[in-house]
Parts: sequence; C-alpha cells; structure tokens
Amino acid sequence: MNKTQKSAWLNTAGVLLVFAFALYITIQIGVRHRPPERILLCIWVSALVLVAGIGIYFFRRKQSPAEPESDERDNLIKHRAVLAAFVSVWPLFLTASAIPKFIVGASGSIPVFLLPIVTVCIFYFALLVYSVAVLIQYGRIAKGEES
Amino acid sequence: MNRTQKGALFTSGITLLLLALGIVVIPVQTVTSVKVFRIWLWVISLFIIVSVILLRIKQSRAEVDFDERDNVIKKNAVTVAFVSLWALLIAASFIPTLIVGDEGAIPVCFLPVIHFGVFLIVMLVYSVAILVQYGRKGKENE
Repeated sequence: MNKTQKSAWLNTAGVLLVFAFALYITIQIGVRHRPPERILLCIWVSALVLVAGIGIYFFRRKQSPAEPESDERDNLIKHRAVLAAFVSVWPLFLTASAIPKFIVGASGSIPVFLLPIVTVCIFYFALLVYSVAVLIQYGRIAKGEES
Repeated sequence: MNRTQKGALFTSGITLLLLALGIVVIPVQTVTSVKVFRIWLWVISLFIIVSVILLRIKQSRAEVDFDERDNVIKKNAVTVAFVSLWALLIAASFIPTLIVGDEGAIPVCFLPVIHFGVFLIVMLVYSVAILVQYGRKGKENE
C-alpha cells in the first residue's frame, strides 16, 4: 500500500468517525434533549486519537527505502479524485439550499452560526468522496494488473 | 484558439454577465426603476447563442476536440477551482456573521443565492485558470 492509499484510508476513517460523532450529538441534543454521555465522548476521542496515531505511524513507514513520495499514476489518480469530489459538491449545495426551506418554510430564517457547520459538513463529505475515489481507482488498477 | 480556450472564454463571459446581473443590474432596477433587467437578459441570451455558434466552428477539419495537453490544463484548472471553492465557502460562512452578528439570522431564500454566487465565481476561476495556462504555454513556445 503506497502513501496515497494510506492517506485515503486515514481520511476515510477520520471522516466516518466525525460523521458518527455528529450524528450522535444531533440525536442526543436535538431529539432526546439530553447532554452527550461522557463515556461515549471518551470512547470517541480515544478512537480519533487511535486512528490518527496508527495513521501517522503507517503513513511515515515506507514499503522500501526506494519508494518515491508519488509517481505519475498517483498524480493521475489524485487529479481524477479531485474531479469526483468537485462534482459531488454541487448536488450537496443544492441540498443545503433546499433542506432549510422545507424545515423553516420559504419565508423563514436560519441562525448564521449554522453556515460554518454546513460548510464543514460539505467539506467532510467532499473529503470522503475524494478518499473513496482514490481507493476505488487503486482497486480497479490492481484488478486490471491481476487479469 | 482551440475549443477548450473558446469554452473557457465564453464561460468567463457568461459568468461575468450573470454576476453583473446580480450585483449591478438587479439593485439598479430596484432602486431607480430603470428597466435594464430585460435588456440584460437579452444580452446574456445573445452572448450564449453567439458562443455556441463560435464553439462549433473548428479551426480546421482535422482539429481534434481535445488532446493530452488540454486534459492536463483542465485537470490543473479543476484543482485551482476546487481550492478556490473552499476559500469562497469559508468567506460565505463568516461574512453573514460579520454583517448580522453572532446571534443574527438570515432568510433561507438567501442560501440558493449565496450558493449560486459561489458556483459562478468558481466557474470564473476555472475558466481564468485555463486561459492563464494557455497564455503561459503560448509564451513558453515563443
């Protein structure tokens, strides 16, 4: 597994952890109207530290001393993944524009502090798309080499 | 001028016309009641028609739609546009806070306007990035 693949796995794991945490917080505070439980917060922080630690360890370890940082194929894969992430952002924008209308009505208002939260959510989603696109492309290339 | 360059030039023109519609034409019509909105829409429609016609005209019959160099230029432009998108989104998240305060609120009808504005600016950045790269490569060839 090369450096690009490792960073894609690390990103995917990190983003999924953040989404799981955001979902839990939304359900706990928004639906149950209760503060988040400390034990779950501790588990989440530990998982995040563990993923970051393992990720950094494997990221720094090279397959061999001669392994380059990235080659032509990696660059091509990364460029395509950026394109996939770029395209995926626009449907998210449409969704982010339409959902508040359904919730508060066409003449309603939303607090401005929600805007950075929406942006961060879109960013994490785009990061997930980017990482998954990188992993899918490496998977396909590996299959092509096998056959 | 090849097809990618023409496309970038026309996209820049259309995005600038649409941005001017939102920033200048609509406020002017609202404040002064001068009927410029309809004229501006005609200008945009005419520009789109002329762009489509010019885009279909080839330099020669042997001209390919795009080659390896065009692909590299487009990929670089996507990366530039993608980076600019995040800068714009950060700005779009914090500017309303500066205007209405931390505890303020904005009407939901502004959200599509903000997102469409961001989309137009990103398309402009993409097109300008393409044109700049062709300009640089043209100078290198000279």
